[in-house]
Amino acid sequence: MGKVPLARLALGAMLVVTACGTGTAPSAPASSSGPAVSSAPAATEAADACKELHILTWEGFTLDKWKVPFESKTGAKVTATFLTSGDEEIAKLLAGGDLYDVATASTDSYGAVVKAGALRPLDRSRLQNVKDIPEFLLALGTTNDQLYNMPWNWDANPFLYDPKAFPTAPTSWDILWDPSMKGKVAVWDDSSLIYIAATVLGFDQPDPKAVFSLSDAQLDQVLAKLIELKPNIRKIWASGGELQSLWTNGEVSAGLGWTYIYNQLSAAGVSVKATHFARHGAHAWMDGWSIPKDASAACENLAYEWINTTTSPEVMAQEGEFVGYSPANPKAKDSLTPELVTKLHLDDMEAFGREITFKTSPDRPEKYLEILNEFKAAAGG
Amino acid sequence: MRASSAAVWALGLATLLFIYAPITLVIIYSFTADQTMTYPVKGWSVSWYEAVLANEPLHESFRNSVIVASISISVALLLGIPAALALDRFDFPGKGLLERLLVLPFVLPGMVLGVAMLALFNLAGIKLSLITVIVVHSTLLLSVVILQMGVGLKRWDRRLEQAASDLGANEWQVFWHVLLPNLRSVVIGAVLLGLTFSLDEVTRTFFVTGVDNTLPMHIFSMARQRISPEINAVASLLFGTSLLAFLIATRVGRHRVAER
Amino acid sequence: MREVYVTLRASRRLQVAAMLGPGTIWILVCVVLPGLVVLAMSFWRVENYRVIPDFNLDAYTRILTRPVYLDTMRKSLGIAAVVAMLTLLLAIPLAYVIAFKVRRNRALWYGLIVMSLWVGYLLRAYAWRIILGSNGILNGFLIDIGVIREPLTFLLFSPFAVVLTLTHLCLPFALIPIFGAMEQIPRTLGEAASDLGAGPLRSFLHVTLPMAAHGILAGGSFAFILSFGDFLAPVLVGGPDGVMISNIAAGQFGAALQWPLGSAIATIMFVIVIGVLAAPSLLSRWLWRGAPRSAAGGAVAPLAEAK
Repeated sequence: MGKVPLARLALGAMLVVTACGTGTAPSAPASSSGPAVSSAPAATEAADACKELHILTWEGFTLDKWKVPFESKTGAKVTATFLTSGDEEIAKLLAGGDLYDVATASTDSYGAVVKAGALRPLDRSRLQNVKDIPEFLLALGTTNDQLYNMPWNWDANPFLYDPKAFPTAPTSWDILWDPSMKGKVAVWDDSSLIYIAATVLGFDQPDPKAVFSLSDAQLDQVLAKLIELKPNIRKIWASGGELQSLWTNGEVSAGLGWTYIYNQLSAAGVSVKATHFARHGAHAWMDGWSIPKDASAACENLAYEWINTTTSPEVMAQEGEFVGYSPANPKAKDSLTPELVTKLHLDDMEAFGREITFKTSPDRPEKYLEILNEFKAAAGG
Repeated sequence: MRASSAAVWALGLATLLFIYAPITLVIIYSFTADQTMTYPVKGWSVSWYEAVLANEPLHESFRNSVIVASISISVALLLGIPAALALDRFDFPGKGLLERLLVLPFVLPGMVLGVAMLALFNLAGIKLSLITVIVVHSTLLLSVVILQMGVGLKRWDRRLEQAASDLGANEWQVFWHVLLPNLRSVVIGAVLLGLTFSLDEVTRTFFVTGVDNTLPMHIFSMARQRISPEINAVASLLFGTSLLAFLIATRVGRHRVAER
Repeated sequence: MREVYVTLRASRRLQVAAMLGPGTIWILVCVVLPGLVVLAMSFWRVENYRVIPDFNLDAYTRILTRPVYLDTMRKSLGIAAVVAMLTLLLAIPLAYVIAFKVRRNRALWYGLIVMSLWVGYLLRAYAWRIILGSNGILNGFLIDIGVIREPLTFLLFSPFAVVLTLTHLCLPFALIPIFGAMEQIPRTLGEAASDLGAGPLRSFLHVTLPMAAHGILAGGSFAFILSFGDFLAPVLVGGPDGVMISNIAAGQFGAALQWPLGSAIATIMFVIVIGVLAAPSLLSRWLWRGAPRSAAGGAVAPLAEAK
């Protein structure tokens, strides 16, 4: 009885949530049947040998706008499995990933995933748009001079609040702990919660990146602080849809959110605003497309085609307009209005990139998760 | 006497209302036009039903559920009917323990069984798929079949069998021509109950699902994602279908010989 | 004159083995074996996302030393107990009404109860999600008729919601064995009691209840076990305070990748459940010494009289 890859076990236990509106198939990942044998990609196989492209990604990344044309152009079906948190991403990608042909690696999980050798190095010569991507974004997906994660979009998750409850916009995360916020806070089931508490406790000074290497003592303080937050929490959400439901049904009036969801809520007329604090903390991320090490060889061509299609200026402009995260390809600005270009930081990518702190993998992901789980289980302070 | 009787009636009816009010509300609100379901209802529409009928992945999940349920109940009947018969007629050392073991999948919390099966599958290197779901469902349904058959067999009057063998029938003939036809309604009852459980199963299935979803798992995803009258429409369709199936089954059942 | 059991003769043994064999093997492989695997895994450890079969007591030590696990276990047991009691409080009168007060169409009433199960466990929990929300049906109704002005937020995402939803979910399951037990009480007993001068309450307490005891215990323990092991209701309608031990255990098999810990919690839950299952038969043996029902079959058989 040798070592049993735990992540394979974990894959089996994951429940995956998916949207129904965009017509994608819901699936829970399966654990693979043995040690993965990585086969050399057969570059000469025709793209139509692959009938179905399985993508592990976040909600909003496979909108019909570019999915349907892709499907009709290639004759293959695209099925997406949606993630609920960066932690889930690590577990899913580490389980051998032979279920997915393309996977979105976020900066949160990228470090851990690459360290475990779960991603296939990308061949830059097959990536049509790689020359247009700014260096600082490419760097986030490169390890040892090898590109693993082709940048697609990026953003700093905003703080969402109800202007009716806040005549003046809040200026720091401390507001969540305010007694007036009792039962009104939405909280994401993700390590970002630890970073919020760490920021409030001052662990982000002087180095904002220090939150990724907190000591046991500091983590215990974080846990205690989070338990203090409990009376204010209305619900701990685990998917974009759930977040959207909470706001749409008027259950919450403050909390961390995603720009994509915020855009949907605004469009629906929900009373919500987004803001970034001066000491916002580590809530920026970059998402890109990567290929799991054990992805099927037959679908590799199609995988590259998906990456090329979605990183093209046209689709990137669509992403900026309909999803709302900053596109990684600055050429997208040619098809967007000046307001959108400014909002998406397409004309000051480097400058904005320097301002924000990217969420990366903590040095001890299991410990962080343990604290998060204990917080979830603890009774409200 | 009247007062206490009225009180008991009132409490009983209130409980019945408690059981049915939520389901009724779900069905009513499947016809609302507004996505946020609140009171009062602002408009009516059947668009959610249209959405369900157009939801291909949902249909796929339903097909998967039907496949899983059919295979599982077949396995359960194949293994369970002989086992139930043996338990009803014979005594042997360890019988009590075996009876308790056979009932365990039904009584244990879904999570405990689900997690245990997941651990086993993974240790054995078995990939999760509809097959692993079928294994779990078969285990659950085996319990259900044995329980149901046990009840039915206890009510069965063995004298009919004795009469048949007195008249010269051998054991197999007694089983096939006397026992089985009269147990038909019990078996049908077991099948219906088993199918109901399989089509509703989430707590065990959650842990052993692969890439293909069953209907309840898909609904769980939907429900966690977004509150939408589309889910209400699914619920109404499920309830309506079950009602129809029940009516058909009882009409068919009326032609059977009662065994009491 | 019913011959219940035939003691085995050698010629029979093969036949019995053939009839019981496949089912028993299935149960051994699919219930006992997985159970042993979980037990074993609770003593292993995790390193670098891999489970290492290296015997240790870390998982159990964690459970006993970090307060959150025992606290949640206690909370779950508490919620399960409350749900079981509420379920019985509601189920017993309704079962009584259907069994004794309804003259015609008793099967229809009973069928109504069972029919409520068809919508599905999940969708019945979902129903409460849409009813109890701040902008939901109940709040909307109460505001509309002027009883309250602000929505009641404790209705959803709270232990209240979890208890309410679980009670609703368990009711039909508890009703079935209770009704089954009551149905088998001869009417003549009740009549005899009233002939002897007992009022309806006394008759109920001293005749009906004891005779339906095994059904009530079965229903109550099933409701308890169902609530204790449920993780769906807390996910759908529970709030940050409504997390139950089953959620914690299930979560260990997810992104947390703490299989040994999850297995340890599952093992403890299993032991508790077995204890609860054994309790009714032990309890009824003690409370009603000499009760005619066999203790072993008593807990389970009435539950099987579904449909």
